[in-house]
Amino acid sequence: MNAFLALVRDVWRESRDKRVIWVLGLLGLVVVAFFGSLSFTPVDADAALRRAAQTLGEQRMRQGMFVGTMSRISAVRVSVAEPRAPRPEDDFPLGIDGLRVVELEFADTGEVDGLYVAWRSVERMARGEGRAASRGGAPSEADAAQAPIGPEEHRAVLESRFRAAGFAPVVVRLDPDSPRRFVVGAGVERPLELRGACEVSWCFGAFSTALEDHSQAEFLAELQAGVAERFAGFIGILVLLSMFAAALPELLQKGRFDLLLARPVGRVRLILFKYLGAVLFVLLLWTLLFCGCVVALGVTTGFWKFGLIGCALTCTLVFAAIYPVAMLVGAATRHVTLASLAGLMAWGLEGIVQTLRMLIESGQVDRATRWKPVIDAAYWILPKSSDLTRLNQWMLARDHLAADSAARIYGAAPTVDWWFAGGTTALFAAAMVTLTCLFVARRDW
Amino acid sequence: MSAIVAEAVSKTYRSGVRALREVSLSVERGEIFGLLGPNGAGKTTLVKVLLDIVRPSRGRTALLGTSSRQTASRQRVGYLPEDHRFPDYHTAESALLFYAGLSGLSPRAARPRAAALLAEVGLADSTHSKVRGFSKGMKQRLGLAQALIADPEVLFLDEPTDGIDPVGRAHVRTLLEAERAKGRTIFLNSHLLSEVEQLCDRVGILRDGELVRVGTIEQLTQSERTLQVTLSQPAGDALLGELSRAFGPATAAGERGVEIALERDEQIDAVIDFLRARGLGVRGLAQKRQSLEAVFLASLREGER
Ligand SMILES: Nc1ncnc2c1ncn2[C@@H]1O[C@H](COP(=O)(O)OP(=O)(O)OP(=O)(O)O)[C@@H](O)[C@H]1O
Ligand SMILES: [Mg+2]
Repeated sequence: MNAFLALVRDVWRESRDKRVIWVLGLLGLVVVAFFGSLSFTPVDADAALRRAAQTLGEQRMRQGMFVGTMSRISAVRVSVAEPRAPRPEDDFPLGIDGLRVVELEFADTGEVDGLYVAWRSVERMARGEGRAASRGGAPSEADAAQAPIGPEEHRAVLESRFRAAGFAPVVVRLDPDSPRRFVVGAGVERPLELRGACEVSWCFGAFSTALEDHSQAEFLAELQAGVAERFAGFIGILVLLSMFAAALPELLQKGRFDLLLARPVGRVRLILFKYLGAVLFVLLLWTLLFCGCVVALGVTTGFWKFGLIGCALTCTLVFAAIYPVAMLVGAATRHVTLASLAGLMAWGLEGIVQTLRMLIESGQVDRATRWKPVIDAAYWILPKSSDLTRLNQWMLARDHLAADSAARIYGAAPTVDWWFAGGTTALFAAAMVTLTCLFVARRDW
Repeated sequence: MSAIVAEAVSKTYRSGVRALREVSLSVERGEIFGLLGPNGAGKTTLVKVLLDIVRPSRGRTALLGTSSRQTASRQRVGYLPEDHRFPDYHTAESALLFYAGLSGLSPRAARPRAAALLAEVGLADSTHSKVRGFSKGMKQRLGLAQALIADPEVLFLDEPTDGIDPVGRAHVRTLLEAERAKGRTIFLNSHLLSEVEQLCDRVGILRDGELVRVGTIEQLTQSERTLQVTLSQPAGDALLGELSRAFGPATAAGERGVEIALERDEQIDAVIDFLRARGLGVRGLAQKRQSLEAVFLASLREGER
């Protein structure tokens, strides 16, 4: 135990000695400060409701699950009445607090049909289904041909659209006199999830933006996912990998390793503890950073959301899987540059394999390509950082949004099996560490 | 139970260099053993094999009765490697605590010992300085403290005074003598014959990976039978000639001294009778010692023949 602690302490001392870790720490502080500087103006539910009704035909399409732009999914002309409180004749279920009502009148029921078809394909895409078929707009006709569209489908699509805008619960009544008219009762139980109703300011009020196609909850979930993905998952990995890649070649230097080998600690343990020390260091670093972000946000805005701290685990797992590649090459060549290059290349390769596989799965690359078995095999073996990034997004969505909203926005049935992704990544790490240990254990030093 | 045992150890490196050939050796507890040998003789290799840093091609080694292959054999062992390098992000103290930790000591237990050792090796003022700013001698001193930090039973020192100034050397010698007084076993690799002569109980000479001589310093340096006789009056050339004819080459040594190279110890009686018969008084009688250096050089020359 003392030997383990001594090695862990040694790794931390070694890291503290590197200048780049302080730069990383400073950047981390900037990120934390950014979270601390955020503030949100309260939501105007009626404005959100009006906007949702007016943009029924538009949907924010996520790109890479992070940034999204509004795009038109269907042409819809609708006139929207001023939102109001519910009346007895609306016949909405009792006991829903804060229900606001808006009356809609469409120019043409055919446009509601179109909206129904378009929205269904958007939803299926979000679930990761039928991506291949959706290319070129072909599926709309196919869908339309499949099932007849009637008032029940109209009601369903409107309910779904208002839910997508963050209202819950949503009740839609058909007007008995006209199929073009609808009365929508929209609940505002989750004010933070209402889209288009929030203004965010940052740098302590120096800048502010209206969140037109985000709710506050979505905005925060995506912001935090961005920190996990871009800061910890990219800059962090880059810096830490190149920093720690030097550790093993330096340790194995003649005259330095002797000092360790003469101690009553086995070689396998030495390497293992050194590895664990680095992984624990990274885990601590990310936990501190993410806790900082959470606390800063909580203190200044009062939104205490702890999901980001969980991302420290996934971000560390990615590092833990790629770092041993640098260790293995470092042990074999005792060359710092080669070791960090190997680590970075493994990371890049793993990213490319995942991207290629996604392109094949989604049909953007011919499914029958003869490279598919190779790519599948590589995908199986290599760590899965993109999948783990998606896990982060999913965890953060669950943290900030209600379960049904998270499922709707980030995919009800994620196409990635988290246990598979995490498990094979951990297996890869274990295999690389084992190889390194074997290599070091068998040699003369 | 011997402190250090090597049985027929051979080592051929992957490069094909035969660094050790059938070396057998045992060092008792409490002994200071000096291993001498020219550069590349395999001294460092032998120590590394004993510590399981290098794996022998053949043979077996044990420390304090435990096979070197077992981690536990290094529980009570200290090692000062030649050309050691400390991680330069450490301070003198943190480095000692680190190595103590690897030997199973908690920082709390090791801190007072580290402070005492740093004072002993003369680094008390540099306790909190980074190793990267140390001079060669300072690093060597720290290396010595490192070897002693876990209170080892057995100490392996590979050229411990390398790079240390003369005052420091004397200091190191005192330190090692104090360790011997505590009953520690010390295995010393050195080029400095005078140092070895002053410190070691037993000496081994390694040549091309072969252990050619082992013994106490007396045993090694006495091996040549040269009798030194001090007479009551100066010996003339005639006497020297007679002695040479009767026993073996005789030469004058000093004013009244004679040195005679004998073939057998029993001849000593005959020499005395011979001198007394000629009315010469014997005032002193001694067996001449060779210097360790002469023994060392002679054993290397044997190899060249
Ligand atoms: N790691 C190694 N790989 C290959 N050959 C080695 C290795 N280490 C030592 N040797 C060779 O083994 C032989 C013995 O080396 P060793 O270091 O044991 O000598 P030494 O007696 O300690 O010399 P010195 O007095 O110079 O320290 C030398 O010929 C050396 O070249
Ligand atoms: Mg040597």
